[in-house]
Parts: sequence; structure tokens; C-alpha cells
Amino acid sequence: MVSTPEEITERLDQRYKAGFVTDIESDTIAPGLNEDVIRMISAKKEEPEWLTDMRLKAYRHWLTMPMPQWARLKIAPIDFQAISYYASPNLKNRPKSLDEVDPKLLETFEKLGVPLHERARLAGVAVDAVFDSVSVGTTFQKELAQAGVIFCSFSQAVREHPELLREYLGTVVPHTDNFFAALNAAVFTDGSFVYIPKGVRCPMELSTYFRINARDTGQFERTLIIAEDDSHVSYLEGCTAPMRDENQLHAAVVELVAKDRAEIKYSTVQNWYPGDENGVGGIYNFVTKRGACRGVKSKISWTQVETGSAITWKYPSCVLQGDDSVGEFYSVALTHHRQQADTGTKMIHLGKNTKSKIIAKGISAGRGQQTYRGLVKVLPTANNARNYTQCDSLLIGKQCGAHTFPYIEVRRHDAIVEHEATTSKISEDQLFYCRARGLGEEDAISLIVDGFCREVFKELPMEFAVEAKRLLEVSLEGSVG
Amino acid sequence: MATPMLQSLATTLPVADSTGLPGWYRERQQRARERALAADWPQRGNEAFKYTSLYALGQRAPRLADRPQGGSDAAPSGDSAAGTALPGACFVDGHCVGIGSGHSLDGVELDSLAQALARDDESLRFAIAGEADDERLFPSLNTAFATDGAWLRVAAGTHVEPWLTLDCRGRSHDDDSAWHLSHRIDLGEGARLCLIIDVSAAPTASFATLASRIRLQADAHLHLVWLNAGSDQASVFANTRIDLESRARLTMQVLDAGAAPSRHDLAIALRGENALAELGGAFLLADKRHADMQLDMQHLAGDADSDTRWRVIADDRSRAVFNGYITVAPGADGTDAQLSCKSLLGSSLAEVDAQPALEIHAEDVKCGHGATVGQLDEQALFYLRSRGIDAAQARTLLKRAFAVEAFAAAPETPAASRLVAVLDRESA
Amino acid sequence: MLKIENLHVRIDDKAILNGVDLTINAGEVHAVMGPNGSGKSTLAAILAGRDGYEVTEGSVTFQGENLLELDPEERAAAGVFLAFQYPVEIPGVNNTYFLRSALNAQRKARGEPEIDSVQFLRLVRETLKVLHLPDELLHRGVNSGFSGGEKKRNEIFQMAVLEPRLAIMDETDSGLDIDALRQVADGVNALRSPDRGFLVITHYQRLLDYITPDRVHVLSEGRIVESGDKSLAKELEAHGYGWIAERKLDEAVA
Repeated sequence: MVSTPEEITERLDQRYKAGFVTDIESDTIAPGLNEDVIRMISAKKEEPEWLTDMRLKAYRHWLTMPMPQWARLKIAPIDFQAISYYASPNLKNRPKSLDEVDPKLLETFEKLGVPLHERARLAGVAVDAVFDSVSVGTTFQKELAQAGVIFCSFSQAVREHPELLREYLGTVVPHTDNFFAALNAAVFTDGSFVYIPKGVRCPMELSTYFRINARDTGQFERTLIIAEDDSHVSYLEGCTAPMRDENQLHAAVVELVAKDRAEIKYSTVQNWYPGDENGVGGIYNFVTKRGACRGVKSKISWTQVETGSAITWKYPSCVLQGDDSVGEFYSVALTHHRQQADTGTKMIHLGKNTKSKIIAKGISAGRGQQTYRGLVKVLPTANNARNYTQCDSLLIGKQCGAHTFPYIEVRRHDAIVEHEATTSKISEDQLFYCRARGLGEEDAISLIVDGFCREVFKELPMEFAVEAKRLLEVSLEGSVG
Repeated sequence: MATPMLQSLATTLPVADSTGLPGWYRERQQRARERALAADWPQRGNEAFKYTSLYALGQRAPRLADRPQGGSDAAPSGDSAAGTALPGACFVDGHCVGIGSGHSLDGVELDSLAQALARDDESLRFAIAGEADDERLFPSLNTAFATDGAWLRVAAGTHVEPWLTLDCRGRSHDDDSAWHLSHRIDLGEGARLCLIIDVSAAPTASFATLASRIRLQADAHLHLVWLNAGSDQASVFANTRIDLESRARLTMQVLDAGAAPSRHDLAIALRGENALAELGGAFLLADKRHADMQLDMQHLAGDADSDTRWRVIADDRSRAVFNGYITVAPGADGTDAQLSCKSLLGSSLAEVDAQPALEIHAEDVKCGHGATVGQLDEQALFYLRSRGIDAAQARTLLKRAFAVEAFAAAPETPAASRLVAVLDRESA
Repeated sequence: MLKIENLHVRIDDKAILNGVDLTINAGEVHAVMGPNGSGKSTLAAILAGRDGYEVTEGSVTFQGENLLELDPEERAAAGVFLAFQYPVEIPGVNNTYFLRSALNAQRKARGEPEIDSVQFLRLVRETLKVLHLPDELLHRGVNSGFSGGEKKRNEIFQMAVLEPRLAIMDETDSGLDIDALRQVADGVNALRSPDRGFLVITHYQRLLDYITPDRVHVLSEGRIVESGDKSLAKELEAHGYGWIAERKLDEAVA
């Protein structure tokens, strides 16, 4: 029995280790959304006029759009006027290097396992750390610059590489795409920008760590990755937020562009605060992620492990324009307590000999509701298109739900599309076998779940795979009995 | 939106000779008509009609077909699956033109809906009173305008040996015509029946709706063969609802050649424990024909099983739509639900849209679905040709083998033989 | 070590075991033989703690403890090992990882220190060598994609690593060809020791050509109807199970 408040806190900490709040002065604009707010954000970011106009255009379009209803989600009405669209830790002057960053911020990221300073930073991984609406710093910039790679915060890219932004921003996910993409295009604050020049194999993993800290704010980040001909990059993102009783909105847009023979590998370990056992609090994670395989033989691979958020709503997609291009989607999503997830992917086959592969694993426990939703579309130009889809759901407990909604649209007679889905509970035989070998019930379940997710975990970089496994174990705690 | 279709319906009286109908039935028609007229005509973006556009149909204003006046085209012709010798009933343009020997079988009552209504049959009134209103557009249209249909009951414990046939056909007209039929079929406890519902719309422009409510009491077994001969210009909308009580078993086979379009909303509700539904279906589509099956398989009680196999062959400019939706309700533990949909696209202008879906609210379940789209196996084709079979025949053989898989649960049925006949005719 | 007294077991309403008595001492190998449906596999399952069985009468003590009160993992930690008739596939879970988790869970339950991965790897490599098993067994998923023979050999391998006090083998010989059978038997013989007991459940006598039992029991209709030394197995082989029934009848008449 847990009795003292300290013990309770300890237990909760165990469940959601990232649930602390950083006490830091913050420059937050008053809640509300109108054209002046957008102009203010744009001014704070010292943006050129074309970008301000782009935001306003998106905002005006957003006003005409209704909140979408089609996903299988129960969402309490969101008051978009009650959200603050900009919150920045008080950085006084823009820090020139990580040494000038407020130690409290560095401490926060260190606590989250993402040390930023020279001595301790992760070997072989460059990190861009985003705190609320701004990037607090990016490691290894010098080393990357030597290879010709640009990896910086979005704000920095606005100042230093406006021509690249202007060429690519909004070309993969236009502001007209959907309600949240339009909102993001109007109010996005920061995020990461990556540019890999021709023929460059990025010398290290790139990673962005997103942290929501301030109360009553939304986080609207924007990520843009451009891989020129024959380049290669592996990018990781991680996310956490404090435990709060209110729902907070996170509506990001990610755009990827892969040119001829370029390869982009994009991995996510999403651990936003999921809310408590009764569904109080937690992040609304409404994200639009899309990659364009524009070049021949290009490849975009999405891997995601979604254990956090009260509600997750995202479909990382690939538009396979280039001939012989390849799209992949590997996903593990876990919903426990009252979490909801509606996630999947879209593979749009346009080019000849394009291939796609989808492996989606859903785990539903407690009162969790989980939906896989996916589209495989083969258009008349996509000669010899190929798709393989496997989605499996695992049920733990009587009150959860697992749903599978694939859409398959084929307009090529030489296409080969295969889709398979299964749903079952953890098999009694497997459980008994493990227990007969000496494993306790919870350990047996985590072992079986880990095996169930193996195909996806093996796509993750080593450190992330370990983290993902641990997250799954922690998230499943208390799912037995 | 008041499309020409709805405008024309607004001026059409439900059932031309409705004066003979009991008041309670007229009220029901009126309610349904108001619902239909108040509804919006489904537009692009309506999820239920995502892959079947109703735009063209909405622009038409078909006239309700008159009762056939006898003569040669009123009676079923010789080559029909429901030749006059067979027991069953025949409907032409929405009106019953003859009831075969079926009604004389022991334990079988086969009646025309219109006649039963005319004498205000007590049991029919009781059956209809127990039905909830279906709010959707096409079922509402059907309720408002259906002129006739079969009222078929099999008494508890009765095993009906011969196949019964409900022959539902439309005649060719010079102008755009419409007909609407409503069947009710009830199998008592432990009853067994083999039934063919044979739909053949006219080759000319026409609009037909066909509603069937089928009830299987405990331990009943219905073998249902649903044939749609296909049409280039007719628009056929079927709504079928089948309820299964404990241990009831449905073996259903569907063969649809498509129309403009042929749309079938099929709901199968497994209400009792240990009920079993075996569903097999094949689309054989050519030219510009369009077939759309919206299956709603509802597992409402524990230990019920369903197995669905669909096979699609789409050639020329045809389009196949298959939505196989399986729901497992809370508490329906022990469910085993499987579904497969395989398609062969025979032309670069054909299209298939498949949507297998699972919605699961119970824990102890085994559910799965698979969907594939592909072509005939070139190696198998080569193998057959190397044994001296010409390419066209080899294709037919392989297509037949592919499609017949849908009927594996009961291979020796009118559905399977019709399938083979259609494919053979095609290759000849 | 193991003492089964007057054990009655039902599944749903069907009586499967009707008063089984059996005592196994450390160092002994007991074979239980019997026709299909005699209750052999139920006996194995009830000893390992599978759900779905109801003990209506009798007791099972293992090293002085009431075995029937323990959870399956507690029995494993106490030293009971069941080699499954149908070893279960667990896709995606690495065999080595599985076995180390199991071993450490058992050690932890017994208050022994956990074994690290280097020590463990040394241990399994040695074991593989003793059993003449290929290294690649370690890198595959638990039983997934294994042939029937591989699964059975994997069970023996697990037994060797986990070093149980009492090993129960449920029809380990079924579905094996003669070479695989010999390999499995060699493995078992290598594990025979004065402080370990074996309960070998089998339908056929042939396994007992390779694993010589101290005692042979015949189970029929949920009862042990005959016990003897290894020659009993030979006689069964020669005369079939019907012979026991006839002999019982003769005895009754005489």
C-alpha cells in the first residue's frame, strides 16, 4: 500500500518521469487568436513580410474550416481563444552559444536525459532542444556545418536561410490541407530545419527534443527537412510535457522532401503527458506529417512509438512521386487508461515501380481506444506499384477498444497490394508458458508485448529502442488484473 | 438539396392504389416519405457513398412503373433460374405476378405483401410493428414507395427441401422507370430453408430499391443465394438486414455482375450466442459496371463466428467497392470473425476500392481481415498453356478458381454454378 | 520429493483423474504410460499449474510444500519444469533473452543473485555444446518458426539451463524421428543426477529404450492401474494397452 504523499509522488514519478515543471520566467502573450496575435508572433520572430503574409493567409483560410469530425475520437470542445500562442522562456538576449543559455533550461533537458552542454552531450547525436515556443539551442552545429549540413532551429533558418524556406515551406503540407495544418501555418513558433546537400551522408543522427512547460499554451512547431540528390539523414524526435490537469494542444506540421536517390529516416518517440487514470489532463497531439519522395529512387521511412498524449491524431504519410521511390511506416501505439489514438499512414503511389510497406502494432489496455486508419492509393500513373501492410492489435483488458480502418484504392491493373490485420488478446498459452518458466504475470506480459513490437523497434536507433521499450513497460504498469 | 430525383418523388404518391391499404401502413409510408424528402441527397464527401457517386442518379426523375398487364413479358421466361416449375414467387416492376408451388409446401407460408396488407393480415402487422424505422435515405424511399414483396414464413422445425426462388425483375421501358420491393422472411426455431433471391433489372435506365428483412430464430439455418444479373443502365439499391438468434446459421452467397450502380447494404446481426454467419461473395464486373457492397457484420453476442470471403474480378472500365465492417460489441467474448477480400484487376481502367474494417470492444476475440489486389499468376498461366490450353481458356480457368474460393463454404449451389456459367460465357 | 495422493481432477464437469497416487524420489526416473485420453497430459498440466482444472480431492506435495497452492511461476522457482507437449511460439521474443529473464526471475524468487549477460552467455554456450545443439538456436524467437523436433530440443535446452529439481516431460517424444529422439534422450540422460527427479509421460515405449526408467506406471481412465520396473514397458509394447485390462479381468475372475 502506498500511503505517504512522498510515496505517492514517487509512484507517479515512476509512471511519468517527465512530469515536472521548470520554474522559469516566461514571456507569454495573452491567450487569444486574431490577426494581431499572428503579426505579433511574426514580429517577435523578426520574420520577413512574405512569411507574415503566408501566416495571415493560412489564418484566414482556417477561419473558414470546421473542426474535423471523422476520426473516432471523443474530444472535448477546444476553445482556441483560451490558448496562448506564444510562450518563450526569458532569454533576454538571444544566446550566441549554449554556454549563454539559462542553466535552468540546461538542467531541464539534462533531467530529461538530453544533456546539451559540451561535456555530457550524447555522442553522435546532434540535438535541437525546443522549450515551449522557442529553440534554446542546437548542439554540434559547427561539426555539421563542416559537412555542409544545416541543422538549426526554424527561427534561425528564417534569418539565415530564407531562400530555402521560401522554396519549400508549405509545398508538402499546404495550409489548405486540413484544419490543424492551417492553424499551424498561421501560428507556428519554432521547430527544426534540416538541409542535407547533394551527395552528403549526414555524419551523425539529428534529433529534436520538444518540451512543453508553460501552462495554457499550445505548441505549434514546424519541421522541414530537405535531402538533396544522393544524400542521407536519420532524424529523431522526442517529446514530453509536465503533468497538468488541463488539456494542452500540440499541433505540429512536419514536411520532408527527398530528391533523387535521397533517403530520410524519421523516428519519433512520443511521450507527451497522457493524463491520469481518469482521463484528466494530457496533451492533444494533432499532427500532420508528410514526406514527398520527389526524386527517383528516393526513400522516406517513418518510425513512431506513441505511448503518450491523451489524444493522438496523426498519419505520417508518403507521396511517392519519383519513379522507384519507397515509402515505409513502422508504428507502435499504446493506449492505456483513457487515452485515445487514431493513427496510421497514407501511401500515395504516383511514380512507376513505387513501393510501400506498413507495419503497425497497436496495444490497447485499460479503457484505451485505439484506431489504425490508413490509406493505400495507387494512381493510374504508378505502373507496377507494390504495397504490403500488416496491422496487428493486442487487447489487454475488457474495456479497451481496438479498431482498424484501412482504405485501399487501386487504379492500376499491375499493382500488387496486400493488407493483413489481426486483433486478439494476449494468448493464455503464451502467458502460461512464460509463467511455467518462472516469469511473473506482469513481466510475462511485457515480454510478449515487446516481442509483438519487435519488427518496429528494430527500425529505431539503439538508444531510442531501449527508451521505447522502457516507456512501453512503464505505460503498461497496472494493466493486469 | 432538392435534386430532380427528390422533387419528382415529392409529387409521387406512395403506392398508386394506396386506398386499399390499412391506415397504420399508410401512416408508416407517409413518415418514411417525409424523412426521405427532408434528407439531403448524398454529396461527394458523404462517407457512406465515398466510392459510389449519386450525382447522376440525383439528376434523374424516374416514373414509378405501372403494374404489368399480363402478357408474355410478365411471367418468368424459361431460362430464368426461377422457371415457373420451381417453387417461389415472381415480381415484375415491383408487383407480384405469380406465386409458385412454394406456398403449398408443409410449414411454408408464402404470400404477396400487397395481398397480405389488403386483408390487413394480423401477423404481418405484428411483424412490421416490431421493426425500427431505418432513417437512411434508400431504406426510407423503399418504405415509402414499395409496392409489393414477399412475406415468407417457415414454421418452427420445418425443413424445406427444394430451393425457393424470389424472382425480382424489371421490364424494359422507353422512359426512366422505378420499382421498389420489400421482402420479409422469417424462419422459426430450428427451421431450414434454401432460398434464392434473383434480381434482374432491365437493361434500360431504371431505378430500383429492394429491402429485405430476414429473421432466423434459434437453431434455424438459412442458405441464401443472392444473384444480381447485372445491367448497364439500371441503378439497383438493395438493403438487407439479417438477424440471427442463438445457434442460428446463415450461409449466404452473393454473385453480383454490377449495374449503374449495384449497391448493396448488407447488415448481419449475430444476436444470439453461438450464431454462425458464413458469407461468400463474388463481383464479376465488365464494361462500365459498378458494384458496391457495404457489409456491416455485427457481433452482438458471445461465441458467435463469422467468416466472410469476397472475390472481385474487375475488367474494362468497371469499378468494385467493398466495405467489410466487422463490429464486436462489448461483452461479445469468444468471437471469431474473419474476412478476406481479394481482387483481380483485369484492365488498367478498372478500379477497386476495398475497406475492410474492424471495430472491437471486447477482449477475448480472434479477428482478422485481409485484402489483396493483384493479377492472375503468370506462372500458373504459363503452366496451363504449356499443357496445351489456350490463353483465353487458361485465364477463364484461373479466374474461375479464384472466384469460386468465395463459395468454398458450400461449393455445390446455384451461386457457384451461375458463376461458372457467367465466366464460361465470357470466354466463349 | 514429489508426492501425489489420491488426486481427483475435473475439467468442467468431466472427471479426468480419479485418484492418482505417485511418489517420486530425488534421483529417480518415473515413466507414466497410457493410451490416449487416459489423463496423462492432465497430470502434467496440473503439476505445472495450468488454469481450467479443478482438483476435487487429494493432494500434491513437492519438497514438503503444497504444490497446488502455488502460481505457475512459483512452482518454476521451486524447481518444477514442464517440457510442453506443444511448446508455445512467442514471436519477436529472442530465445536467449527469454531464457535469461526466466532464469533471473527464478533466481530472484529464490533469493539468489541475478546472473549477468556475460556469465549467462557462457552458461548457454556450454549447455549447447553438451547437448550438441547449434548456436543459432540462441538468436531466434522463442519457438517461432521452429520445426517440431527443434521445439522439443529447445525444451530440453531450457531444462538444462534452468536446472530444475523435478522435470516433467509431456510426450516429448511425439512427432520426433529416430535421430531427434536419440538427441532428446541424450540430453535427458546428461541431466540425470542424484538430486533430480524425472516424470516422463509417453504413449510409446520407444523413448524408454533410450531413457531407462526406474519405475513404469500405466495410467488408464484416470487411475494408475499397474506399476513395475522397466520390463513393464516392454510387455506393453508387445501386448498393447488392452493386455492390462485383460489381465486385470483375469485377476478378478481368478
